[in-house]
Amino acid sequence: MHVAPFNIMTLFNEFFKGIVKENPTFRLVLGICPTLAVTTSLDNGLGMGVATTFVLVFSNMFISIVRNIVPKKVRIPIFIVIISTFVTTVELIMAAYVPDIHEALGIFIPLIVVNCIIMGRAEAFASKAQVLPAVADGLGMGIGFTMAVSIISGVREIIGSGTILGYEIMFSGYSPAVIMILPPGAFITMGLILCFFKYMGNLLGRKV
Amino acid sequence: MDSARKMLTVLITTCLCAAVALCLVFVMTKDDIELKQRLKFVRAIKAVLPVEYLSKEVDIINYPLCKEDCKVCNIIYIVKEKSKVVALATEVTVKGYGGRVSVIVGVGEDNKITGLKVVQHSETPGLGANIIKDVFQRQFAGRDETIKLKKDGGNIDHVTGASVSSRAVVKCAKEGLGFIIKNRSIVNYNSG
Amino acid sequence: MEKANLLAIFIAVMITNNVILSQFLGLCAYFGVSDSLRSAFSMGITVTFVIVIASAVSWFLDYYLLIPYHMEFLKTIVFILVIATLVQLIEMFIAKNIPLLQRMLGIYLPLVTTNCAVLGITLVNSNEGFNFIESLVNGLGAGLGYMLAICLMAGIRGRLMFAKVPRAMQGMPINFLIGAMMALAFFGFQGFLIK
Repeated sequence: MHVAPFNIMTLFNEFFKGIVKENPTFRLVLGICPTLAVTTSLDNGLGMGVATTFVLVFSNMFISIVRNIVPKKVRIPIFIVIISTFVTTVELIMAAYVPDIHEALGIFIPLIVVNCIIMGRAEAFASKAQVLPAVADGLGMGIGFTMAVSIISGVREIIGSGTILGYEIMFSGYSPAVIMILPPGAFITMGLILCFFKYMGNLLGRKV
Repeated sequence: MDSARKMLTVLITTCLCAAVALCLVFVMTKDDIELKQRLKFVRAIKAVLPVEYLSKEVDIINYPLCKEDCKVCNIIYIVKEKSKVVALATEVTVKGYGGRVSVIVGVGEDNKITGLKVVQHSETPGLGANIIKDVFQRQFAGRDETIKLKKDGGNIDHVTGASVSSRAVVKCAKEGLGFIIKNRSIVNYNSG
Repeated sequence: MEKANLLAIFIAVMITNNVILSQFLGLCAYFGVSDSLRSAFSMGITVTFVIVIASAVSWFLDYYLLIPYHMEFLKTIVFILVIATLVQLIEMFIAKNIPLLQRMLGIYLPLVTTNCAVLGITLVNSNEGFNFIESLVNGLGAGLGYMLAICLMAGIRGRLMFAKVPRAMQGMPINFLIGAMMALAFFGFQGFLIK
């Protein structure tokens, strides 16, 4: 088992790789359900991003702590228990302090449990890494996810309702394209953004 | 055998720790959650009162009216301001375009609607979801049982592009009004 | 009345509010396993199978354990553990007794544990306060709706192999746009069951 040497540079690397190089949404295309379902407005997207980041950081941390005492055969159920504990915690906290967002996200808060990003990071990284790198990885992935969700929900909110965070920003007389906040709009936005990244990747790749 | 015992121990310990941690969080957030729900409910009830009561303190008394099997309870909310009854309110749910639409209807002493508020819906965003807009909801104040959409020969403007959703709200208003008028005589105003 | 209600739940979750295309549940497998009609069909059957059983088991737990003891806040953790255990048991059972099914579904079963459609539907059943039969019908409709959407997607992707797709659009981007067209088509069914 390879354990990364312990220094600041590797921590930074673990942190930044989740934001750009291995962005969970745009590069690895993981955890698509919440990315499409709750991105009808920027505040919902941000709420989802922050909740997921919280769960990612803490589940990565705990999984890394218990990684040496958990027998290999039962590691998946144990990961599931740890992850769902933090998901329920987030759910209760959101219900208590930001009830509006809690209501808007609805069933997708408990569904963070089955978000492939979290299980994927637990399995591929946290169960093999020391605590600090695991936390850095979770934080980076979480921020990468939050950014992706914010971009998608921002685009959808601006085009679909002509507002951003509830404030009117489009010129007067703009009639919102409602389709963008309906289910098809989610697929269209995601498809076009992925296409854009791929196109940029092709362009840059050709130069190098 | 030993590894099986170890697996079981680890599994059970994890579950126990998780359960204890969650119970702690639950107890810590319980009061806040209840408070927030209560606030939301009070805001919804206030929204169906005549405008002048918006900033005033009101008491809300629940008066459940149960059918015989006690499975379905329709609650009438008695709204009082300084022990004077302002309005009766009730929540009605009907089927809309995308799912159920729940509306709180307030009814004054004169058997006319004092106001109405959509509390839950899953109508199409941007179209049917506009039933939550004030412009639409305000039209209901002061109407009696003859309430209808202009489209159906009445006096309420429907939300653009969403006559089914609008009709669902009108249906709620009518049912709520009818329910309160029918049961007005049996409500005990001094309860609570 | 009772039958009409069940039919309404069934049609809603299968078509008008399709699990995948309008409720966004189970998208990972929707894009991951729809590369051939055969695997899409097997995945559809597996999901249907697991959702129906999970709906039944979670209903009993919810109704006889969580609600009477006011522990609804443990819903998520209990349901996901039930699903994980259930998938494991089903896997062991069919590996031993029904080798035909094992050959067909074997590789898809582990994928179902982390499929949000299964956990999503059990949570919806509980939040909507469905009774036992309604939960089963909702689960069955969701499974069949899942199968419908994923098989259609696989069919379209099969045709797409012969089409010239721009380089930047190849792979995921075009799949999402196909998803958009299908969501649009299914959106046309909304308001289908109004009386």
